[in-house]
Amino acid sequence: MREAQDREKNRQGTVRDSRMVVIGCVCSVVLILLITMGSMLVFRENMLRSAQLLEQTDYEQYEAYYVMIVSDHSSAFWQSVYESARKVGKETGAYVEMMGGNLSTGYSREELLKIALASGADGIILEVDESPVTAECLEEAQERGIPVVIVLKDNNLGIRTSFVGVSNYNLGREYGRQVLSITDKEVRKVLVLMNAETQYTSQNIIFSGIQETLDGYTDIQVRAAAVENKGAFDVEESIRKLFMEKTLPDVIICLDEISTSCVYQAVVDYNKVGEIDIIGYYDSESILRAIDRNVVRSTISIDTAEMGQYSVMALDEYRKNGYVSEYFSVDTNLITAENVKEYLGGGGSEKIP
Amino acid sequence: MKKFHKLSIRTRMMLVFIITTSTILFINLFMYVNVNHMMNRLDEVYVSNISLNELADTLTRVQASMTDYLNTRTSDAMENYYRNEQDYSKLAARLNDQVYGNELMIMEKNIRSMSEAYLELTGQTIDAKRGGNVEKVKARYEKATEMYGYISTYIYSLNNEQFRANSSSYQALSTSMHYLEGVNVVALVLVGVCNLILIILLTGTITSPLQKLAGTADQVAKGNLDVELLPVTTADEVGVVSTAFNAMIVSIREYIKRLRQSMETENAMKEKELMMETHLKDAQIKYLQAQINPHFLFNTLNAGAQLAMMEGADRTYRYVQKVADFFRYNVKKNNDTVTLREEISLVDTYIYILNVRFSGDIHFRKEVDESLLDVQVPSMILQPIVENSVNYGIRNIDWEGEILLSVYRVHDAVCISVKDNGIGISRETIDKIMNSQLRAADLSRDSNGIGLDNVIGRLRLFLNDTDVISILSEGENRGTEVLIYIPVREGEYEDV
Repeated sequence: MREAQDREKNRQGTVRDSRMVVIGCVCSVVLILLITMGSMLVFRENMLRSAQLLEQTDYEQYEAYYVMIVSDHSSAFWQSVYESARKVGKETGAYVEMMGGNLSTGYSREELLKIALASGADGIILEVDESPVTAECLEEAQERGIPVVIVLKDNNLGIRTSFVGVSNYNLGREYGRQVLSITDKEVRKVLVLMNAETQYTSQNIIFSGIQETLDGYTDIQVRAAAVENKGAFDVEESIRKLFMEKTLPDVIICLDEISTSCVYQAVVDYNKVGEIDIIGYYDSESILRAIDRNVVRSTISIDTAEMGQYSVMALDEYRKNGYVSEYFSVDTNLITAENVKEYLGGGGSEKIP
Repeated sequence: MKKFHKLSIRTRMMLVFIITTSTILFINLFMYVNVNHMMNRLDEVYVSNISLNELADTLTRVQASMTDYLNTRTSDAMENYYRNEQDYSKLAARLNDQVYGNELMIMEKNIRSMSEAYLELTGQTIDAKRGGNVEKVKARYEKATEMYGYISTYIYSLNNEQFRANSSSYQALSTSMHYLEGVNVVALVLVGVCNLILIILLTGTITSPLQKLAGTADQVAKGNLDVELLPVTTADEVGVVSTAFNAMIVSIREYIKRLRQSMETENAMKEKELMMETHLKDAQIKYLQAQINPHFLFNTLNAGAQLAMMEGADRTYRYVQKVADFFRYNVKKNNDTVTLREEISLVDTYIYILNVRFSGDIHFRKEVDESLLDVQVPSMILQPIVENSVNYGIRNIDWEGEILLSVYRVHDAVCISVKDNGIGISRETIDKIMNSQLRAADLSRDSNGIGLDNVIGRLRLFLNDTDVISILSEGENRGTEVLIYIPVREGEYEDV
């Protein structure tokens, strides 16, 4: 009887043991499966992420391909124009590319124009120069029915679909008014920095605008100085040369962004702050900060967002209707020490409220 | 699991190894597939760069072969040009020609468009050369070369950009490769540990019954049969052996139990028998001694002796004193063994009493080896024999009766002889005496109660031997001799 009980107890003990074994087996198998499945899932996710980097077919497709060719594609001014144009283009189904931005070789505007024509662009936004090659290319574009919108400065070739920019005469008068607004010192000499390479009339129109405004004031001498713009760093060199002269002007008027920055730096370096007033162009961060520090008296900025927007609109309209208005006027803003705070910390003109 | 226990050890071992091996195999296979997949992806990363390089190479060949033709105007160069031109247009046709919102795709599209323009230009240049129009050849060649430069730059730039993009893909893949490596190591370690546990558990179920069996068998081998029976849970070889082992232990236990029982019964019986015998002997001794208890007589005689001494009757006093000694001996030595010396002195006393009674008729002689007198004998054995000799041997004879008591040594025994020259005794009577068949009625009234029969019985009990006394008679009127043999224990009387 007792033996039977013992045997029963033993049997139960062994049954418990084998149950433990079963649990152990099940647990380990489940663990192995979990590890495998888990790693599989995480791995798949990783793989998908990598695959997305490789896949290139899911980009948005556009109807038209516009290129933008400017003198300095990396300047804040043109970047701001390009941003605006790209945004508007995206809405209307056109891809806008800043030519030369991602190329290993720095091409001239003429070469870029040639590439754009060979690449079959549907429209070209061009900051024009007045070289014969450019004229040739514009002719070819006209022949092939490719619309070309000239921005910022108009050319005298007359071959263009449309022009988007400011009225140079009005711009000149605004510069003149800024010279007259200087009342805290006697202004005798005004120097206008002009691009030596530019043959077309836009700068001349600005200059005459300034002259006309200051016509009645005989004690003010207005003089134009040519700034070399042939090579990459010529502007800075020729501006420094100006400061070596014996007689320095009381006011310097700059007609582009680069010369504004260079003059500002030169005034600081030659310790002429307060002696020379700078009337600048464009509202880059450094120029705005210079106004804030009272080194630059004022700057005239062009509404870059409007410029980009009108350029793309003009191209779209031409492609749609076959004709487009010849001239789109872009607003200008005057920035002085009084309203500079509104622009600081912002950057581009598109920030204007 | 119950089914698992019914399998044979071989099958179970095989199952364990198949399970663990296949788990590891599966995990390894999975890892291999993953790594392989990864490697393929890694291989694919720079495919676009490779194809761009090919495009650039072909473009260079087109330009070179065109230049070669323009220089040499050979048909070989021409053939080369057309072959390269075909290759290049095939490669260029693979490029994207749609406007996608991605810089790289746009560059690809530009390359394709420019390539088409370039091939047209080169074709025109070749045609002009064949036509011999030198002016046109020069102008077109310059244009084509210019275009060639643009395309090369574009391809180079695109290659760079793609390399950058591909590098980030490669980075991602490489990261996930590292991750995979980590996962693989962790998975392998975990699987290894799990398998180890699995093997320990499963082999444990196989070997633990075997270990129990071995342990129990060892205990049994050391003689401990009181072990717990083995639990039999498996139906394998170990289970069979365990069952047989259990059955063996049970039957051995059963057998030992039965053996013990029978031995116990036998012992009890033997013990009972022994007890009975002891009791019987005790009773006999008590009984026999009860027959010779003369307390009253002894006290009375003592009083008589006192009286005789007071009256000055010395002979009477002496006589009564002897009689009193005689009975005192009985009272004193009732239960004990005594020395032979004391027994002989009692016989002397007895003979004195008889000689007073019968006026010195009895001639008593002793031939005693003094050195043997310390031997232990039961009390009251010599006197009854001497009394017998007096009563039955020499009482009614015509000649002078004589009794001879001799003590001597025979080998390893002390021989006590009581010899008379009386009427003798018949063989039948001797036999009757020796077999205790003589009735009390046959005894003489003069007997003091302790007959020969009693003496013989007591001697036999005392010495635990039947062959301790013999009665010899040579016939009628030729006397009787009673011989008692007391064995001398080893070491006793060695000096004799």
